[in-house]
Amino acid sequence: MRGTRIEASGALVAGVLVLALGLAGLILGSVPQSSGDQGPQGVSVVSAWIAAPVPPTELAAGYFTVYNNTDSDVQLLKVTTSAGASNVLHTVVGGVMTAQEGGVLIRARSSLVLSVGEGHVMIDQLFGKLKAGDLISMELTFADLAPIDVTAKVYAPGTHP
Amino acid sequence: MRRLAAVLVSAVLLLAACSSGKGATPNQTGLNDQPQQCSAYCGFGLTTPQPRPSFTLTDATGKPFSFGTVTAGHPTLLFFGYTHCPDVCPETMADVGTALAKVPVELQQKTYVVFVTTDPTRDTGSVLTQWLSNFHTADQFLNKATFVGLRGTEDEIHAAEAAVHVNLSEDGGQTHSAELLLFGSDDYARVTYNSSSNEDTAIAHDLPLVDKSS
Repeated sequence: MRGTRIEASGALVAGVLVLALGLAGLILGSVPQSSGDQGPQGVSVVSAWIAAPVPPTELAAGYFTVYNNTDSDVQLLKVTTSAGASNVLHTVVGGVMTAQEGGVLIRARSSLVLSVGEGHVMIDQLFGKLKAGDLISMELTFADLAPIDVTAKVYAPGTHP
Repeated sequence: MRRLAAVLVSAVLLLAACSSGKGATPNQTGLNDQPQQCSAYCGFGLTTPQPRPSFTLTDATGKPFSFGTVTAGHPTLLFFGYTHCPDVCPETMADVGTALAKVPVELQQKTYVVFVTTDPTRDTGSVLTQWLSNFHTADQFLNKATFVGLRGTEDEIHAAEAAVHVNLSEDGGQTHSAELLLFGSDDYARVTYNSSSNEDTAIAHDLPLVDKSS
């Protein structure tokens, strides 16, 4: 995914660009605040998607990558979603998938990759049925950093990007 | 060398809670998308073939199921997991379903897919049946393989895990091996899959190879 960088020269231009990107996010889903093959500048979230529950279970899993291309460590405190009331971060620690109730530290100039087998947000107590194609809002809350909102598309098992 | 590395990675990544890290597996290099690059199997080739084990658990209808007897002579995919696992388990089974949908119907009909729950408390026979049905009746997975869900006591499940040399499940079954084993019609497993997604092409490539009766 090619990076998107905004250097607004005027309030109007910036406003138009922000509006356009916002609309694109609403329409396309899974749109990062900024993105890039090597990771964008600052802290950003890309490649967000959600695995739909497999009946009769009612658990979903959220995935994304956080780039921390700053010179400071960043603490991801929690993730909330519009899909369910319970959203628990899990990462692999010592080969074992482990709930991270206190959040996850993302070192400077590194990234956190949540992917199948690598970690996920376990989404429970769903607000309603999730089906492939649905768009779900995700908010990542950090310590000492503004929250980042992304939209994640729901995929049926075996069909994720 | 790659084969040795694959086996070592396989050994390291046995245990995970609803997961095992994909790690630096060969499949991440694109082998799955380019099966012609596989040396023999597209999964992890075992240096020492593993004989089909004998263990008896309970099937979803409550009847004893003797794995070694019932599946003997059939290509068989064996996995330990649980249905409330949102991550590796459904993705692995989705890969199995996708792979089966790609092979000839005759091979599908010969193949068993055996899912042993590590969480028998929540995974009743009914839950297992309904959950597994997603992976052979949904349009994208439609296939004629025989899917079997097995349950047992914790000791029985551990005995089955030990019989196939995967790490024993822990934490109420939520920490379990993520290894998918493929036994051939000659009753040996020569290939396994540890990665947790995008294994369908590899499995579809390897299934006909282990069906010596075809």
